[in-house]
Amino acid sequence: MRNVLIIIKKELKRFFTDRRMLLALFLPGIVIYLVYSLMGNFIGGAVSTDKNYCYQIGVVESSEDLDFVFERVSLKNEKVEFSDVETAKESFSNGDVDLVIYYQKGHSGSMDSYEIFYNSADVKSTTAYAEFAPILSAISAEITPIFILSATDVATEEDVSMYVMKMVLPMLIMTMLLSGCLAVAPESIAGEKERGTIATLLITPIKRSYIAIGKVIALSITALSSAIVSFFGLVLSIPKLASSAGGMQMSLNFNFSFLDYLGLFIVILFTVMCFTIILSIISTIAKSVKEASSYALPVMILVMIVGLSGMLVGETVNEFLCLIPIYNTVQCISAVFSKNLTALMVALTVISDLVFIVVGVVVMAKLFNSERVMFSK
Amino acid sequence: MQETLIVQNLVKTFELSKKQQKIERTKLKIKVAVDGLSFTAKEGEIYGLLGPNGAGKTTTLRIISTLIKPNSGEVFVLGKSVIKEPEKVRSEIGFLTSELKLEDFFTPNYLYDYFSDLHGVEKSVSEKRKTELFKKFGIDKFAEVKIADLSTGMKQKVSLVVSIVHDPKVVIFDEPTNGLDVLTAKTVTDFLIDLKNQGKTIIISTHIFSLVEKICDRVGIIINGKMIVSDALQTVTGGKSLEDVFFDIYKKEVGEDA
Ligand SMILES: Nc1ncnc2c1ncn2[C@@H]1O[C@H](COP(=O)(O)OP(=O)(O)O)[C@@H](O)[C@H]1O
Ligand SMILES: [Mg+2]
Repeated sequence: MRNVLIIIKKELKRFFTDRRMLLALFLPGIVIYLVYSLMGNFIGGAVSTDKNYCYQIGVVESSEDLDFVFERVSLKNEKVEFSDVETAKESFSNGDVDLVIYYQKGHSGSMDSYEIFYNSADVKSTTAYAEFAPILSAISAEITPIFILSATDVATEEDVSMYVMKMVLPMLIMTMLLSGCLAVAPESIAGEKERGTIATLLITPIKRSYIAIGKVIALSITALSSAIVSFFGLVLSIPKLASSAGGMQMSLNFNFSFLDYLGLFIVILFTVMCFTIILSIISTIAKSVKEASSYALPVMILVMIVGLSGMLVGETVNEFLCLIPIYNTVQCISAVFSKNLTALMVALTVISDLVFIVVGVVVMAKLFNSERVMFSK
Repeated sequence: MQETLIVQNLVKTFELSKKQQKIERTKLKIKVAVDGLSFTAKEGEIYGLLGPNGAGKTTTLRIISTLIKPNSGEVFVLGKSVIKEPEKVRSEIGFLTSELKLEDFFTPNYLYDYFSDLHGVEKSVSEKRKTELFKKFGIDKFAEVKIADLSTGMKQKVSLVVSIVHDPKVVIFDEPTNGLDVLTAKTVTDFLIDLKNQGKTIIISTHIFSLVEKICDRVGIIINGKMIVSDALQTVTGGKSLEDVFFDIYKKEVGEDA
């Protein structure tokens, strides 16, 4: 165990004090953030050029209270009055009005309420909603009778933006995790073989399996920290990109609970270890860094395909699909975004990944013991 | 004197790839690199494996160092089998060959500590030994320079020192003076004699007659993977020069066309 630590320490020193290595590890995350933010600003600029747009606000049964709200709103708008809710809704779905506000008298016992209709997949509707809702609720205290404000988002699962995000995000995250591993594993194992430095390690009394374990742990830590930077680059830039591209941030709710974050983190942790094992085995078999990188290409493509299978994950998730390593990552990430990640899913993911990792380490140790693999020329 | 190294009937074959077949100019798929080789070495002596290129010297040393496994035969280092207890054997030996490289990214100082740690050398002992060895080989002057920026001679010295961080009882050097400038070569041979006087067992491989004559107590002549003679240097030469003796033997073994 002590020896494993010595190896981990040295490997980490190698990765975290080498400027070239650091660049390879953390540049992708930073670039993702910069590019997406720039793209976001650019698209945002394109969408909001129409500064003179007059927001069409549908109202059923106008009242003094509502007039009061309209007075306070700074957004350029036009009030469109409807005689009943049905025609207002129809108009809304045709896109003639951007928002519908109507007063609902409480039935026996229930309170009166103001209902708002908006579509979070539509940038105009979202903007109007963001303007009207707070004012409406702010004056609620001043007006009688007391009412409740309820808002209905008509954006559906089929909304393209949401759909695309749900489909692409798991793949993006998986690709990022993998590229973190890819930046270090071939260099650390195939590179050491190629340069003949691994033999120096092999004649120390350390068990070969410990060398393999030490390498895998150090590589996982490194790949994980790279993945975390990339992940934050993505998460921080998505709202910017999304809000300007169509108000997606509303439907793609980033208000995860602590447990969601914890689940996501655990899943990512184990995924990175699985990727590290796969790439480590490839790098052990390969004779050179170049060879390892070319072997890794099919893995990258496969992971992207598996990542894209996220779009096939419906609302009803089969939790036992989480027993398939790598695929379970897609399942869990999709589940987080649709808010139905369960403890069972995380547990199954961890268990199956753990089995995968242990088997992988055993294979690695076998390979490290094979002279044909270690001294292939 | 105690026999610290016992090599018994070693056989090692390599499967040749198509490319290797071309290089070796052979149609045979299997190359017998070591062919039933036996010898012993005692403590407090330098044993020299002498043979032409391709005789199987490096392969033999790699088997003794547990880097590769023999097809058959056994090696015991201080009574421990290279097949059954490779880790224990590795902690008793120091092995140096050009095949073992140091990582460019680190400094001699760091690498010394790293390998010392891996061998489980106590910190105070390790520090003292490092100071001594670094001074002896002049590494103290470039202890904090990355390996990448060192000359070949400097790298060799660091490799040598790193291979013996744990003060091993058996030291194995493959072609110890190959590629070294005369000064460094002298430092190395002096050091080998030093180690011998400390009671270590030293095995070297070489194709240089003068080196054997200068430092070896006993010599084994290997041709085509077979040990032809293995005895005290004087007994082998019997008053003649080692070179003459070698070519006599070679002609007998391989034929007149040598
Ligand atoms: N990994 C290998 N694969 C194939 N042939 C090898 C391998 N290693 C050594 N050989 C062959 O075995 C023979 C002995 O090599 P070696 O032990 O390096 O000789 P020496 O060190 O005496 O010059 C040579 O013919 C060499 O080509
Ligand atoms: Mg050789």
